[in-house]
Amino acid sequence: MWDKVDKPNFYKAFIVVLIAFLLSLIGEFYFHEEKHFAFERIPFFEGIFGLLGALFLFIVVKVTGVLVSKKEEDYDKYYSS
Amino acid sequence: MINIIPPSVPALFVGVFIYFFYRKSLNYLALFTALLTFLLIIQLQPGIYGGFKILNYEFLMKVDKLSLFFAYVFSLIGFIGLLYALQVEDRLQISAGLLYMACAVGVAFAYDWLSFYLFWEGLAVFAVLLVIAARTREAYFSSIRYILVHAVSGLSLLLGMLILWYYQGMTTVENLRSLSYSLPYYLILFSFIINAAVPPLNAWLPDSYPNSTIYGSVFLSAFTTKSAVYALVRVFPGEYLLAIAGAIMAFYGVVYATLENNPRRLLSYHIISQVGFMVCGAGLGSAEALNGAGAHAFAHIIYKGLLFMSAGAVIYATGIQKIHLLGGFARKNPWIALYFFIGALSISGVPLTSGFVSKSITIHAASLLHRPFEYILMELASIGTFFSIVCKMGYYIFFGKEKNYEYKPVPWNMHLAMIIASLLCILIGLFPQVYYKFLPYSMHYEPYTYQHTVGVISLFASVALIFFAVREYIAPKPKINLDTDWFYITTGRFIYRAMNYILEPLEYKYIGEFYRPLVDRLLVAFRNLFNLFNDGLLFSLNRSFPENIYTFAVKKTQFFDGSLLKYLQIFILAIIIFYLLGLISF
Repeated sequence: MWDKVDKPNFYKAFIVVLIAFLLSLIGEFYFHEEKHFAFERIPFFEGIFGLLGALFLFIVVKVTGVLVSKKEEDYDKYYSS
Repeated sequence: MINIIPPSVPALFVGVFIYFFYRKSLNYLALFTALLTFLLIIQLQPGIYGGFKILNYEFLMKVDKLSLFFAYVFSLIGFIGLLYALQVEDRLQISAGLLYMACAVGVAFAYDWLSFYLFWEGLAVFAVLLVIAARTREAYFSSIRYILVHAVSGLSLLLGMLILWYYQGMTTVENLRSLSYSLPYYLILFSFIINAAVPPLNAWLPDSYPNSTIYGSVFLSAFTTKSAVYALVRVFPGEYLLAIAGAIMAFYGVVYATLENNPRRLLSYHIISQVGFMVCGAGLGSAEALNGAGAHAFAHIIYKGLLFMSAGAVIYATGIQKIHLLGGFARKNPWIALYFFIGALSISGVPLTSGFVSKSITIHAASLLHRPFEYILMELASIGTFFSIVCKMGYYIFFGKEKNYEYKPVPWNMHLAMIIASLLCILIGLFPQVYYKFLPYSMHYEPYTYQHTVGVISLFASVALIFFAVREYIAPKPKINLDTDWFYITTGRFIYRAMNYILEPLEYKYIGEFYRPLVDRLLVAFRNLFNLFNDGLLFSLNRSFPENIYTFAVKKTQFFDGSLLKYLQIFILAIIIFYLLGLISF
């Protein structure tokens, strides 16, 4: 798994995530904006949601791909009848 | 008395004119007409206009902030699309594009159901012409499927409209929520959600748009779905079904988009996803959510046009329609990469772009109304949008390994069109409060708060992190993905086969034998009778008529041989005859 990760870009993205994490922690102390859902009160909620949501999307995409992806050569078999 | 010029009329006339008298210089006329339409829309004053009557039926036109807002963007994208297509020499694409724009503007201003219906059908017709203008086998078949689906949509609208007409008298295009749970309500809603591509009725969209030409898909991406969004906001605000359907649709679109390998098909699935946000906004129904739907439609038309234009430019330059064969395009032409990434960041909703200021209105409205289901699905759809367009498509087309392919430079007008669209995206993102002034309903919303901005940045940074971790697993592969149209294509094929096996022998063996005596006796007798009439009378007349004329001419030349005396005799004879006639008549 780890050897298939695009490491240089992964580290760059990781640095951006860290900066965003620090900024959102600062925001927790200095800015108190209206929150409408209980789950929005979790610190760094958007970042956690992004990580989990992207993983969830990845899994859904792989499962859907198994169900609906077909070979490109079979276009005529499924479409133009 | 007609007191204004309806903005769609000049484009309708010029479009037909261009089709019949086409030459390449008329592309500039089409461009000018789109600009003229925009100028006509700008100087309209709110109110209800009418006066044009056919058979006692008065066509009405309503101008208010909602219709103006949509009409601005329809005419703008018409102008940008025609500028993009300026170097094409094809009568079908230019005139169909212009007429398509005119119909969309017409839908936005129509106030009586009949003109609404006529423009609605016009959208379907000109979209099919744009698809078929690609002149390939795939385009031919997908245009047939397109017109079949949209015939269902148009007929459903017509039926609903006629029932309304029968029971209520002619009503105008207004909020129908008071008729909830009645037949015309559902018929009209069904028609609108087909055009808005709500799953499972969405398959016509990714089927036909990528098969059009690169110029046609810019027009196609803008008008049909967004006029359906306009109609939903106008007629069905606050329908609860729409909110759920829109949220599911937003997520459904991105899942398929992430799987796709054809760049324009990927973008088509993003249309479904983004229209999901708007349908959800229309379904939530608060003033802020409806504003969100409208604002997102405006921004979406611009950046989706930009994305289709830059994907089209890549296809124009390389001739390749598959992501897995492309790579490293940014080194060949960094400008197109720049336009693409402006569009891609806008569609994801990154701060300082138009998507950020428009998408967040709907999401904020969902959280104000305490709808966690819609909120979470729309956030997931935002994640998927960033994941599939910026990360997947952007990475694998413009960066990544450079593949071997030919490259041809892109003409100036395509660049200019993309520059205009990019500037619009950024300007809307920089000055949201100016943009919000044009919105149909009054609201107070500030997108650039500290926590919202930082939250969006951390969301997208986390998504990028995950993308680089799993990049190898979702690399584009040469595959096609089946959508819900598999069901009706398979059903249709099954029905044809069943007819072949059951009905055909039945027809030949039994029914044919049954009416054979009828044919033999009655029809043959009729045929003989008509033959007699045809051959005997008509044919002989036909043959003898020229001969008779010839004889008459010969006789005439023999008689009028030029002597003055004969003319004088005839003259006097004629006077006598007229005199006698006069006597008789008195």
